[in-house]
Amino acid sequence: MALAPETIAEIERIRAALPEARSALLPSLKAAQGERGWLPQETIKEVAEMLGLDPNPAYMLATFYTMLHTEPVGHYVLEVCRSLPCYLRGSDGVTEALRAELQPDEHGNSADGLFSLKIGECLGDCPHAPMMRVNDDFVGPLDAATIPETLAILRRRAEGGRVRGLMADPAAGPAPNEGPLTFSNAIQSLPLTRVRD
Amino acid sequence: MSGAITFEQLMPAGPNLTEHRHVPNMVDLEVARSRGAYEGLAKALAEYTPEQVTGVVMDATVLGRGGAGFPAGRKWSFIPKGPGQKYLTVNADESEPGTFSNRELMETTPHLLIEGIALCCYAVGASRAFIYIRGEYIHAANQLNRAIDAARAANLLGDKILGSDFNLEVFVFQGAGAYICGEETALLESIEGNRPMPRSRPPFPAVAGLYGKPTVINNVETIANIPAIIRNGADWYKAFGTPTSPGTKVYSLSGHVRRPGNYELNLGISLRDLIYEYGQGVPGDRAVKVVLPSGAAAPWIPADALDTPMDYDNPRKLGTILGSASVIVMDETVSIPHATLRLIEFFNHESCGKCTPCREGTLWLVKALQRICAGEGVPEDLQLLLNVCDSIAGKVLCALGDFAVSPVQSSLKYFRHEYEAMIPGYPTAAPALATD
Repeated sequence: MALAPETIAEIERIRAALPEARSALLPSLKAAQGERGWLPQETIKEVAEMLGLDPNPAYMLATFYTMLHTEPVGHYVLEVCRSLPCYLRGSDGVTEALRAELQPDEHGNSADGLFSLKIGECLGDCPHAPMMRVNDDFVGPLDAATIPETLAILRRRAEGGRVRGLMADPAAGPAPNEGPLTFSNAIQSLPLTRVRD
Repeated sequence: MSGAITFEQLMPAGPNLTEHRHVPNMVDLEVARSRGAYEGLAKALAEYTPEQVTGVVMDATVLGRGGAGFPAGRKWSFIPKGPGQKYLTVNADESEPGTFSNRELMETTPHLLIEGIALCCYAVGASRAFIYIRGEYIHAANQLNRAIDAARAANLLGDKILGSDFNLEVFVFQGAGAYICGEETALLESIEGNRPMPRSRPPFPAVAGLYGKPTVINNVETIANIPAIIRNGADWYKAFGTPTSPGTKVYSLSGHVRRPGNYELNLGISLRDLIYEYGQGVPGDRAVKVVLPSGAAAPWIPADALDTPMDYDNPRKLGTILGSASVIVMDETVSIPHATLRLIEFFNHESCGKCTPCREGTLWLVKALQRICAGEGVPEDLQLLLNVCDSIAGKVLCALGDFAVSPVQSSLKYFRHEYEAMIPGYPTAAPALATD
């Protein structure tokens, strides 16, 4: 399936802003992924050919970076940090609670197709440890006990709106912008304990 | 909004880099200019030649804040003079565990970085700059793009900046999740559309960097220091910090402290003051067990050396470095072998795979540590760990491999007894470990 006209325009804008076409490859792959949540092989080929580049090295790029997905992912990609600052604050318990709640398959996807669970390394928000990335947003500090409530908030946000990824209907077009998910507006009901002890 | 006090609002403002961290909407050009943004650029373009800008920065002795501590002015002076394309790439990949100061700086005061970029590019004669920002920092990248658009509209970027002959375009290049991109030559490979794997040096980027052209690569905080230095002079800057480590540093404090966060303080503050005065101590008033001074990467500092001044010189006496000053505190409840395993898992995950010693060695370290932590270790494992470290360090193209061995070596140096206690049948009178 060909890329949407808006995505093609975005790739052309990126190409024009950069001195060489090869530099546009990574940002263009990200733009293409933004449209449907992940990068099928034919999409990678389409992006590379738009830029006049060989598709094979483009595929090598897509498989290197953790934020580029060469397999379908859910509407929400949850990347839970496991690095030392989050580990010291109990990230393993949070990960276990997410696993128990989502029952992900071997690809990390929940059965309803709404969530993909990824275990990530330090995301640079250690004062809010333990934390995770939910698509574009950082959420934390998390608590294993409130993970079911956190996921319920995310499910409610997706209700009624079009979603992308595994659940998406390609004919429906890109998912609407839900607006930023920030700690304070997403999880108001959770304890806002920012100063510890 | 709930009206709750956000975490960042509790952090004190510093004298330079974080002076305006609490000012709302500093991404707005008018707000930023009301706080002095771009005064340094206007002064430099009106009063200084490019060489004079480099001279002021060299006189101020701005040591590179990314970790290596190389003087920024000297780095700039390596760029060939005369015509020909040159580049600045700002390293905003900030992926070291426990490091989060660049993100806050870019999110709250993006114009500070952009003014610093313009000053650096004017000094070295670069007409194009890239900010290489890690892919996860989406809001920071959005803030930078908003600020760049506003600056270009006000002729602070673009062609003939403020009526001078100086032209500059800045592009925010977003990564996609890879620690290795913080390594400067891997960063260049990433911008060039290749798999981000480090290059062998020489040639160094100042000679052949981005697209084979002379390239300056500086950390966000290094560049953000420049505007105030140009505005106020080198002597103003050198009044902060110590004679050999001038200026302030944004210390990222995390782990077992009551108030983790970014603290802009004079270089040379002791870990004790950082942890107890600013971080307000350890939860439950437990004892500090050990401190990691620079994320996962640098050798550790034991609890009996908390009075070490955290500048560029004193940590060396303990065999470690200031690095990125991302201080992770571990209290007495931490199992050192488990924490070490978690650190080595990070390096194994992030090894790019180019050099065999790092790719394979970090995996073998993980396997040996997993075995020990599962209570299935054998007495020979401790020597095995050190032998694998010796097979990695100094035998790879970039610093990732050298970083990866520090947690193993430090933990065995200070906490060998914890490993021994986890190994069934560890001999009570074990032979000393050979460390080289």
